[in-house]
Amino acid sequence: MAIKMGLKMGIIGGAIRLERENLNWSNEDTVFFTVQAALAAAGLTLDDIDTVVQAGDDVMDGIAINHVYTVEPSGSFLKDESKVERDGAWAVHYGIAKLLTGKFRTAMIIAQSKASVCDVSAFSGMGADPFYLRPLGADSHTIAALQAQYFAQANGYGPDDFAAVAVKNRRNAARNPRAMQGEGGEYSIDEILQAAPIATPITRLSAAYTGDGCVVMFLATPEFVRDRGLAAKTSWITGMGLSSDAYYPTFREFDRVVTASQAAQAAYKMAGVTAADIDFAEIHECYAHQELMLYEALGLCPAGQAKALLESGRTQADGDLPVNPSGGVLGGNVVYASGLARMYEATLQLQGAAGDVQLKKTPRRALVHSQAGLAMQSNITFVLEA
Amino acid sequence: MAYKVAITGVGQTRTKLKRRDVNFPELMHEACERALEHAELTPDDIDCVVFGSGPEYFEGVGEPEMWGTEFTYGTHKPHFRIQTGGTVGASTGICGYYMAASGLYGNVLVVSGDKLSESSVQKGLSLVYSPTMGRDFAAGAPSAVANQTRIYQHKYPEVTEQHFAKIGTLMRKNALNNPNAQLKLPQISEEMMLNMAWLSTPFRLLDSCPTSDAACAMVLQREDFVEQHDRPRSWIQAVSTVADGVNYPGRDWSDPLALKEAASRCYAQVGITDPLEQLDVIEIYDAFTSQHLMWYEGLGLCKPGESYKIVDEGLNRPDGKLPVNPSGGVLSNNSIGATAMIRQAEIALQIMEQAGDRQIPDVQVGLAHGWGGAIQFHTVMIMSKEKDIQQSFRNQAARKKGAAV
Repeated sequence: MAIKMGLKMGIIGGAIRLERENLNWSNEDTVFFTVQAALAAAGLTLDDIDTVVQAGDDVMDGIAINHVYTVEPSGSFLKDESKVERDGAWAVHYGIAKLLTGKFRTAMIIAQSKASVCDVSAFSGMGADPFYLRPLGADSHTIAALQAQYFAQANGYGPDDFAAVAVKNRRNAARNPRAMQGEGGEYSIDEILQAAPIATPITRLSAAYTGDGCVVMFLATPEFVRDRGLAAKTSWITGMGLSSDAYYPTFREFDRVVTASQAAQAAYKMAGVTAADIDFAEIHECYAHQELMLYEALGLCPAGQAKALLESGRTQADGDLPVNPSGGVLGGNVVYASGLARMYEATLQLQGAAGDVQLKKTPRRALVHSQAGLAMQSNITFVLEA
Repeated sequence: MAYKVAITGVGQTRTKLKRRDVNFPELMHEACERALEHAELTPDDIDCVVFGSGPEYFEGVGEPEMWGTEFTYGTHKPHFRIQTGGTVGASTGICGYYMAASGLYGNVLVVSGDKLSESSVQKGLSLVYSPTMGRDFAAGAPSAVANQTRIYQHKYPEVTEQHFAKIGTLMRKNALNNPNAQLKLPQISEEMMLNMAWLSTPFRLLDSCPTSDAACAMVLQREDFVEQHDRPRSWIQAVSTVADGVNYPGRDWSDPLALKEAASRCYAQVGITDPLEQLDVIEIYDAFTSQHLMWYEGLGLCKPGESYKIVDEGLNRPDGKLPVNPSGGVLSNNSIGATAMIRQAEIALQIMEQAGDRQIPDVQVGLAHGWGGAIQFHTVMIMSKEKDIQQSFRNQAARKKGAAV
């Protein structure tokens, strides 16, 4: 794969809203208020926005071509606009490509969904092919549970090792006012393990709760950042990589995440750094065991050392390589927005603006990861710098 | 800085009402295989794949690009999906353009399609209607476009069913020259058009497109890769995807604001001031006959309300001043997912001089249009034979001068 070297694209602001359920707001309301909050926070007006990439899903919304109704509330009326039907992190990839052509100065990325009106098992189960996986009752939970068992068996890990990730991330989420209200908290490993079972070894507390919300971010070219004098409040995307694996779990190496490794190596190479240069990471773990798998895949530790890395305390919020200081996706999942949420939380850290979860020493370089598909079939990573 | 990008390979599937021999990913694979073959590339040459398909309700499979990863040569590569409804084929082609023009990738495969026989299309399209405001009276696409057409006819009473019949007849005749078209009616006539059963007034059955199982794929190469070979290519010169609102107060459904915006932005980029003169062929998204009239206007081919004159004068015929849909258009083939990409692929084939029996002589500059959403998304792509479109305009001028002599 030919990799372009030397990326530099600005992130000049955004807004986030994650809730277990919001019965008062429609999708349109959610998008409208989050876009308005993002514009106000970034000091921009709609006239400053040259192109828009939305991320959302028809099945989640119960509407075919769901973004037809978010054109107006997002302020995309008669703007250059398109939709990626995957996490907003992939919409960022598209936005960066558009800005690199020089035809646009700014891009608005919008990711939203509303799980309170859609059963997540039904939604993810629709991603199972009609012939082989669907008759088995496959959905995101069951396939991820199989993956967890595979990973546990290959490394001699147990459910308590995975639960330790949930303890860490839910503790971080409890301190983060932007995390989904009710998902953070102080839990013991036993409490995680004894929560309502979903699919062994996954329980209600080692799986991310899926709710309602929206994340909006603005990308800008270095020229726009310079002309508007925004350098002080800009974070830079300096590396990016993405890769998809085969569909059927049996056709993948199921005890590791090969495509997350490929994505991370591509991003590091583009940014001219290695995993050792990363100060902290925000990664997309829908289930606790996935964070351990990603430690290895993203190069944060050697293969087989994920448990040791967690136990060393280095990935805790006060460690020297914090992972998901925001609480991660276990702190609240909004389908299609959780990867973009990781990027938003990472930019706040780089800006020293993360509030209660701000790391003691303001970090200079972040790794951001997002995943898609059953059991992390597709992965994307970014390197962000202050 | 944007790199120049050219289409160097095109693949279309065999199209039928029901393709019982393949499932959805296999259908997409067929198009990909043909596009790579056409571009004389192997799957290993491709460094990014953009997958497009319509609403997931059509096939009943969520995130179908996941199931289709291997089938579309996406394994261990950047591979993701675009979904914008009817425009999706064009939006996918345009996304592929940005992937290559950005410099991020050198050889991009784009593929878009749908297997509409898997479900009830009009039920799926009725889900486009707002759950609170529209679904009680939702009746798929024909009723919505019938309303659009009634509004247009109310503004311009000169526009009659005769015009629709004339357009439908021309498209079905054009389709006879296209091996990829699905609906082939050698016996077509204006009288036949006007004697079909009512679909949704003012539309009779043949004012509408058929439903199809089809996919289309294209290989897009960045200039440094194009220039490594001397195979035919079609240079992409301008692209635009524009979104209108759904149903705000005062919206005139028959006035395609988004198309006007998309077209004028593209024209401004390449220096087109008189599209009727400066374009050699166009492919438009004509799901219904009457849309020709509204899209001609949106593309600036005529003054408001005068597009019926283009039809009356036959300017849109293959031997006319500006041939429209020599492929037979959407009226002869509509899988939704592939449809808007086929418009781009057909223009590319015209520029590569590989359009077979539907070839228009000496195409220098062509335009492909896409339409979708809730009557609100429009896309435009302008392509030329020469890498520098101004050279193509000069070639046009020389040809016209020669003809005058």
